[in-house]
Amino acid sequence: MMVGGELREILIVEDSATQAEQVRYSLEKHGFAVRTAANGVEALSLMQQKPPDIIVSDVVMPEMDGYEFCRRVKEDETYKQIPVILLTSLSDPRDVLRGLECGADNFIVKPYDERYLLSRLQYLIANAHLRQVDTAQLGIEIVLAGEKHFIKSDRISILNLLLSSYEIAIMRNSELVRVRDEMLLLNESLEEKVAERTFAIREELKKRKEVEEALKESEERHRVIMETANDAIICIAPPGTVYLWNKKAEEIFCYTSGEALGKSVPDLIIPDRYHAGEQEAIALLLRDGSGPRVGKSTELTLRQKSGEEFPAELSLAALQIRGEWHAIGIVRDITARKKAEQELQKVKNYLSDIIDSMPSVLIGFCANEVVTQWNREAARITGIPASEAIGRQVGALIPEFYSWIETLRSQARTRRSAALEKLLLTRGGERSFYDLILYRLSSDSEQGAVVRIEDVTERTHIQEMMVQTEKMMSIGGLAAGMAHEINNPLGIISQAAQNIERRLFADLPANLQAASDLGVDLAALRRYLEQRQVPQFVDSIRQAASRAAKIVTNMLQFSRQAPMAKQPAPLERLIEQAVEFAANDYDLKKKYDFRAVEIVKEYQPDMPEVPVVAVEIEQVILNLVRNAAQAMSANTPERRPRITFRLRTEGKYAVLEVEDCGPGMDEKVMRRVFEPFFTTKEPGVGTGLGLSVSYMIVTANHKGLLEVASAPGTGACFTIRLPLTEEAQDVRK
Amino acid sequence: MSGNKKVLLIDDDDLVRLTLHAYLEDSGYEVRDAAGGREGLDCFAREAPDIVLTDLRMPDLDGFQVLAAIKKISPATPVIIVSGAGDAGISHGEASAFLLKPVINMKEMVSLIERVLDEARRGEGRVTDE
Repeated sequence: MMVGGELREILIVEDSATQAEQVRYSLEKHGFAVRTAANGVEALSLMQQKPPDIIVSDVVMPEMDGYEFCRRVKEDETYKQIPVILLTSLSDPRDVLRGLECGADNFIVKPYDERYLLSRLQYLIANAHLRQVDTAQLGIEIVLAGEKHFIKSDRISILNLLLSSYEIAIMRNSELVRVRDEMLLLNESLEEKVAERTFAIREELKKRKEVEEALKESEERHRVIMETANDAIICIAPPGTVYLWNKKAEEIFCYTSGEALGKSVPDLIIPDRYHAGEQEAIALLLRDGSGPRVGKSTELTLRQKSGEEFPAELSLAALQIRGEWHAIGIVRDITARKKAEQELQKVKNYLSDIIDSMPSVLIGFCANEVVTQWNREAARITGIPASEAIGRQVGALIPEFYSWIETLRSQARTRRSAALEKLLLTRGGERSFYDLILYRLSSDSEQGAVVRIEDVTERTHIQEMMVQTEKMMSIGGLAAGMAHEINNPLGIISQAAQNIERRLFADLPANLQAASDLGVDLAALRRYLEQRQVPQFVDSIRQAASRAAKIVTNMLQFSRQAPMAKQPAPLERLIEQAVEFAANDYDLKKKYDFRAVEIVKEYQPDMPEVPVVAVEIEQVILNLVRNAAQAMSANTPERRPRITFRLRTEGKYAVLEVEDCGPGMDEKVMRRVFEPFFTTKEPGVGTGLGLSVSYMIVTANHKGLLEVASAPGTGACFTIRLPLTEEAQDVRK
Repeated sequence: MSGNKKVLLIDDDDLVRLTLHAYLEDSGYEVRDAAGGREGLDCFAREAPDIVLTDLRMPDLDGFQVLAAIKKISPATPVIIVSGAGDAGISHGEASAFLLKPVINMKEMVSLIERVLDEARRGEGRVTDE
């Protein structure tokens, strides 16, 4: 501390190094220079080097106590002006007297109070001049508690001591007051705390009661849940015994809870064959809460008391209670569900069976045209199995149908379904017809659809044939009526011509009579007629009438009213006869050498006999052979004429094929080939009735089928199908 | 050849009748003709012909009715039905033969008549044109 520009030096005499350091620290902080000594002896030696401004000394010290040290300082002429502050506990009034005896200037009570020490130091520094002025020595003897004390301190010192004592007393007192206040305060807060605590405890109790009630409620709730649960609830604890078995468990397993509690689960409800595995799983669960079924729902087979087994669903949870693992199992009897599932599966299989059995291609797809359904027929037709088709784009799978499907989809936008009929598809020269129907799926919000593709080639064919037959029938009827009307005029022409011939050129008595009666030279007349070619003209009338009569006769075969009786006949023989007849056919021979035609026979062995009107079928075969021969007459020399006959059975039909290697025919000709009066031959060569008559014989009279397959440049193949039995004919009708 | 056998020709077509009549007459037969079934039966009753040639389709009585009536009166008299090919398959019943119209070759008609008459003379029997 800088007082009056001087740095005061303080000497601390203290045997406790820690206390000495503590004082040094607080004094240096306030600007004092400090030296320390462990006792009076050491302090005196330090003072010899340089006397301090103030000395602060402890009282109780080894070697030399504080009083002795103080006395020595005060007795020394060079030191006696240095104020000495003694540290004392002031627990005894004698301490004051001893202080006065040794000439101490001031007292400080232990432990050091920094603030007080500083105030003492300031006081001593401020009042140093008083001490220097008043130096009169005074001696007083005081007896206190039987001890004689001689005090020779000056008045200032005594005053100082008393003041400091008083101050200390006041300090003590105020300390006491403070402590008392504190005690009061503490007391007060203690009371408050007690009140608080009491309240808290009361609250606690209230809360506890509430919790207890809630617990009770919760327990009740749990109990009700347990008892009303629609699933069996079973709890087990180590070593694997049941301690909870609800009402539904009683119902499902037919064990009362009395019977079940305390028993082991496998013994109760696990079928024997699963014991080992389940026992192990339970043991694992009870050991550490793990296991294959824990935390999920699994299906398993369980057993009733009666031993009857049933499918069940188990939801298993592991729960740790006071360090032990418990298992809570919720068991549901899924017999009904399983049955429903099986039923559903059955229905599903049934439906997919139906879908698969459909003879049509059925393809389901969703809005983005990804295939979801692909039936067996679809797989068969495309060669793509369902497993590969599903999930792919419909357009990639059946590109040839895709544009139609697109059309249908746009049409079906406003309707439930859309259809396209008789779509023609030509693949490798083969013509096929398809019907396409697209149904929007009503149950599918995703705008899915099913498309049905049906191959109607055969049906279209049959329809065409039926139309053809109808046409032929009506033409037949017309022809018959017409033929009758034409017969008489034809007869008249022919008969009149015959009469003319006979009456001119025959030497009938009536002719001769008439000539002589009239004076006609018959010979001259005949010569004239010959010269003017009259006989040729009459003959041409007869021939023309004859040709017309043949046509009419053929036409009348369309409408033969009474069918002739059929007899089983071997088709091989009919072919032989027709071929033989063709070889001897004068008309054919004129144009073509039939013997140059190679005849190939491809017959199925053991061909059965077929019920036919032999002459009619022979006529049909002859017709086909004749047509073939005529068609091949234009063949180039390298293309050797050949007729192939094939015989086989196909289901209920005998099939006879007549194939040539002629020029063939185009679509347009093929369509009209069975039409009456349609001919590709030169006028006069054919009547245009041969194939139509053949057609009528086969279809109307024999309930068979006559078809042709051909293309320009590939020859033609006529196929006759005849029912193998008369019953088959009836069936077809 | 004929021995002046009497032939009754029944046909509703005048020109058919005319041309057939002429040929049969030229062939030596005594020919009577009628333009319909009823007229034909009248004629049959009056003339008692040796043989009858009748058309099938006629306006009043058709050929079968004529045939039936004649067979009632005179079962032994042969009847030849003359009609178009459309009727060829029909059962001829009691007719002796079926002659296809138009008659392109009347020579064959005459030989058929002769055969039928011959059969009739020898007793029962039926002759066909096939």
